[in-house]
Amino acid sequence: MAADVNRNIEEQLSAFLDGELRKEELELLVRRLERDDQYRATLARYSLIGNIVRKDPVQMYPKRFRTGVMDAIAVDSSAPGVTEKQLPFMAQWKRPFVSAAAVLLLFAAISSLGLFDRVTGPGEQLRQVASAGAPAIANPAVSAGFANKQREGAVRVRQAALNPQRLTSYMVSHREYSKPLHGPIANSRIVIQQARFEE
Amino acid sequence: MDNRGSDELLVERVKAGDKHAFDLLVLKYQHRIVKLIMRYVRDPAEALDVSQEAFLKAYRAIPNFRGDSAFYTWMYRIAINTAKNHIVAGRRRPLEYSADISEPGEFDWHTGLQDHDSPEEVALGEELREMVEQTLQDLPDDLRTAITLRELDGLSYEEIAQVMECPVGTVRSRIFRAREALDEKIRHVMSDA
Repeated sequence: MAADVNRNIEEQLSAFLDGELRKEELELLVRRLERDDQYRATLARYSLIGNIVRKDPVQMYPKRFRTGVMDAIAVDSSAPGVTEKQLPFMAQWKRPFVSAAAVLLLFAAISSLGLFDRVTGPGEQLRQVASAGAPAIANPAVSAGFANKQREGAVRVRQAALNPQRLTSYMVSHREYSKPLHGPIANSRIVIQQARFEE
Repeated sequence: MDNRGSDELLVERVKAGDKHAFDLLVLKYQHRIVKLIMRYVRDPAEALDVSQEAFLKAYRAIPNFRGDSAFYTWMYRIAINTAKNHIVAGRRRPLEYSADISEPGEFDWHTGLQDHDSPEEVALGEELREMVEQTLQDLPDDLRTAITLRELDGLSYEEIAQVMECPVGTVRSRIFRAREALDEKIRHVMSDA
């Protein structure tokens, strides 16, 4: 009985090698091969027999070669099963726009809450200086000067943040370092550099 | 299911994360890919490394394989490109070849591979070859004809069935029995080696 099963599987291996295995048989065979190295060895020998019959060079490395490939795959982080699943075309097409909209919404929220001064740049530094120095409050002239500088700083920050070029460079940069959807953008680094020089 | 169909099924399984399915594709095509790459890379050990690299590249790229062509055709292009890149990177001199390599197919073998094999491997290879050829001659006519039409002439089971005027299931059985008989002979030699 076991011998019959074994022969049946070996016949399937033979048909598999010829690409003549039925679909339902293939499913079962793949699952069986997952756990049985003996049948893999049989398949390798059948392949070798084909080489000899065709008078191709006899290559004596089947197991070493195959295990080398599979070992490399085992440690490969970009394996198909590990990587993000491919999205349908429309979903991929929409993703950059969804990301851009999210960034714009974030800026809008920060702006509407008046958080720019606390979050970034010169406005925050001026606020710290102003709040730390008690004499500035005592002297109305000095206090007014600090307030003016603080307002100017806040305006500069808002202008910079809402500058289309800078926003574009941010999004391009973000897209470059995120998982590419349509291939790399060739001149993104140049755009970023230009944005930095303009600052 | 034809060869392309079974490969597509395996490819779908690989895409779903089944590494064993890719292992089967490697088992199925390793000889052809190594043979192909040895046309470009002179050193056998290097050729094996390049072949492994080609399979690894194919594995990484398989999510992008859309099935417009057969898996082997796609794999063939990857192997050719990997071999060419290897030559360019190492400035190694490619082997001479005379066949058209634009598409997969049969080529004449012009390499000096046998000269690079170890004496033990050469001896074992010769022993296996003699054993298989002798066993092939001793096979019943119907088995020998079936496996010869398959391996040498590359006919499908359907075509062999027409030539031999028998059902496809019988062809499948005859080819298997021929392989079984040949395997019985070489199995012991290979386990001793």
